[in-house]
Amino acid sequence: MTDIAVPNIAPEVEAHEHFALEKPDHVWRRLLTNGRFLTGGTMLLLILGSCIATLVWTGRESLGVDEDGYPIANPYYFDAQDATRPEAKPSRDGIVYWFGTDKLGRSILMRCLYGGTVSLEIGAAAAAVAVLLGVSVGLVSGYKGGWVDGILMRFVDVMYGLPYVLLIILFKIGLEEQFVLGGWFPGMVLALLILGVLLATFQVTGKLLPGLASARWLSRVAVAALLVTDLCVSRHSVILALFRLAHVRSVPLPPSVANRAVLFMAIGLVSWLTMARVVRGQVLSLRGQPFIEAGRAMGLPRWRIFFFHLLPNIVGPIIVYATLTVPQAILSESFLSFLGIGIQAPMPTWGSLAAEGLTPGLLPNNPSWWMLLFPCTLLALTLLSLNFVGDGLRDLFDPKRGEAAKL
Amino acid sequence: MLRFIAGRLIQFPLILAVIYLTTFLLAWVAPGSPFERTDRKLPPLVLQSLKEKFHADSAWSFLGWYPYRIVIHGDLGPSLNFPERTVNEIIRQTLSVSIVLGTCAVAIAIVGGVTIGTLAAVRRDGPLDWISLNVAMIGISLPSFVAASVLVVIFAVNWQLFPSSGWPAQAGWSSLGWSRFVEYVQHITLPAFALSLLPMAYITRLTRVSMIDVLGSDYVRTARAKGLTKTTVVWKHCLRNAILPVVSYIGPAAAGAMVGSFVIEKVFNIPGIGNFFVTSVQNRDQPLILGTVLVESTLLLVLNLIVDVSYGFVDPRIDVTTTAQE
Repeated sequence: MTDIAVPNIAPEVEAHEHFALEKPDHVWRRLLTNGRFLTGGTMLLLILGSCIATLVWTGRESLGVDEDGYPIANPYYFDAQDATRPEAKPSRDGIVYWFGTDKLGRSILMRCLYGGTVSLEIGAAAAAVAVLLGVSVGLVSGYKGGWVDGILMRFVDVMYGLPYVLLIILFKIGLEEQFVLGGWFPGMVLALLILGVLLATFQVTGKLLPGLASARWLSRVAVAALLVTDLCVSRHSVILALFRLAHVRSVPLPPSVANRAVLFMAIGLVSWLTMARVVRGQVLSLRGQPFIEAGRAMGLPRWRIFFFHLLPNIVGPIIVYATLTVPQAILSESFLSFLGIGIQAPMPTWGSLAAEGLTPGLLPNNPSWWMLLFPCTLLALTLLSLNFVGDGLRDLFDPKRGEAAKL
Repeated sequence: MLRFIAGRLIQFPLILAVIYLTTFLLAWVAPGSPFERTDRKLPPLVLQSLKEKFHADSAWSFLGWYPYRIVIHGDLGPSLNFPERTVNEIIRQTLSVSIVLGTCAVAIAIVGGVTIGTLAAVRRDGPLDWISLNVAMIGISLPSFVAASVLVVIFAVNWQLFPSSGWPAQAGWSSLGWSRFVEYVQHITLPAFALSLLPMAYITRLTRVSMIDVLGSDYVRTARAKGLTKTTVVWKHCLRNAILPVVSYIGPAAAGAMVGSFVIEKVFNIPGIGNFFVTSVQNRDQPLILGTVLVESTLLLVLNLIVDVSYGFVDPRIDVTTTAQE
């Protein structure tokens, strides 16, 4: 870079480093002049809005009861079957047939609209988990440093190393039955929590007894080893027996709810890794700054520094990566649905609709292209607009990179 | 450099052990096993002896016996779901298919992505730039099974240029020849191209961004003023400096293309490791899960190591041996 360029980019670099929000009107002007953000945002609002607004019709099985006490079938229900018109081409015979019908005579349009809410729900859930877990892990890891940072980041590395499909599928298969039957999974979580509390206690006692560092470590290792061995001999586990005694079991859930809940958790649990790394990097660069040091010198409690001084400065990247997590989550769900392990049968998602349309769509003599085209277009459009919005936001919070990259 | 590689190699068993433990915990803690899936309920004694035969009777066999077999004998044990085949056999037969497919896909992605990205950066804000940006965005947004099925419909069904699915049958070295090569090319083109779309989109974006950065630097102006042609400057001088982010992306991308291609493998009906991995997880075939995960993680680790080492060749100023610590 030449010397002349420095005064020009200096304020931007500063904004980039602190990720400080500008005055609100500046933010809006910058956003509203960004063509990609505008296109993406409008498209997203349109799709999202129509999916949610039509939920009143697509989500209701019957329209009440007629005089004889029989339920009146709702033709707009996503699972409403019209046996007279299986695999009908898109036609203008009524809004139900605009996008054609599938093999069972169900309206593709209604299924797309309803499936959109499910897909977007998954995206939102993943983003929420990514923000909650990723930000807290990143904050702690970056701020504490040392062995805490080492352990947390190695954990993130290992999670990166494991194929994410394995994690998602194993979580799903393993936990779903637990949720449906009301298994011991919450006991497991509680056991892990207890382990955490024990480790924290050791940390505190270590502070009280500074001379006993080696003893502290020995006891830590011993307790951890005990707990791990105990959990490994699952049938004879003391901890699990305690939970069994205390009847700590989860409430049985209906299968469809369990299916959704577990998929949310599984996709969320693998999507926080990038967020943790990004937040950690930001905190690392902020930690040494004078204002944090000043806060520490004033004796502010750690949570105050976290919430009132660190967090506001990294809101930008958090928003950006949360936005970029949503399309990734929707994409993973569509892969899982394609493999037949995503959201289960009557409930549609864009991914499962595309997968359903794929097989007949490939046969040259019977190409029901509409079953593939419409869900895929909606899926691709949504992902495209989410990526556009995410990139627009990144331009806003990271102007230097935005200028250079226009991406 | 040798010391650096040795240091990283020493870390491998540790990381693999952690990955093994994690996978083991996930696979074991999850309830249900292939023995319990059968329609008829087996008598408890038969079940017990079956489990003993497959060393699936307790968690300890997977923590004690199993690592011992893997480390000492390199034997991943019998597959629970394919009783005639051992995990070693399955991996040997499928891994090569996946590696060939993944390598082709990554090669296509690198060549295509770097070319498009560089051209877009050189003709910045032109129509080509606009097209490349949006094509890259679509490549990132389009699920690969959709791209794959569109490719199949166009090239295999309508134009009948390539077979729509399948893989050349396994055969010995004796049958190598021109016709065999053509057969491979025919079977590999569509899946490799479908698989390359996502990494190509990322590589295009990365190349374009860093190329724009590099094109603005002083030495480019000097080189042009000295009388070098634009082509030489861009493709020889700038590219070498701009390719670094691409290099660091290639490691995970190649690993992803080699082992994460299960969707493409399913669409094209290719007997790769990804398909076996997914079915093994669904069938709770613990030895096969552990085996495939170990192989995949090893692949990822090795590829990342290769990438780290190759930094030094791409840009001699980079010294991984010192920066790796920071």
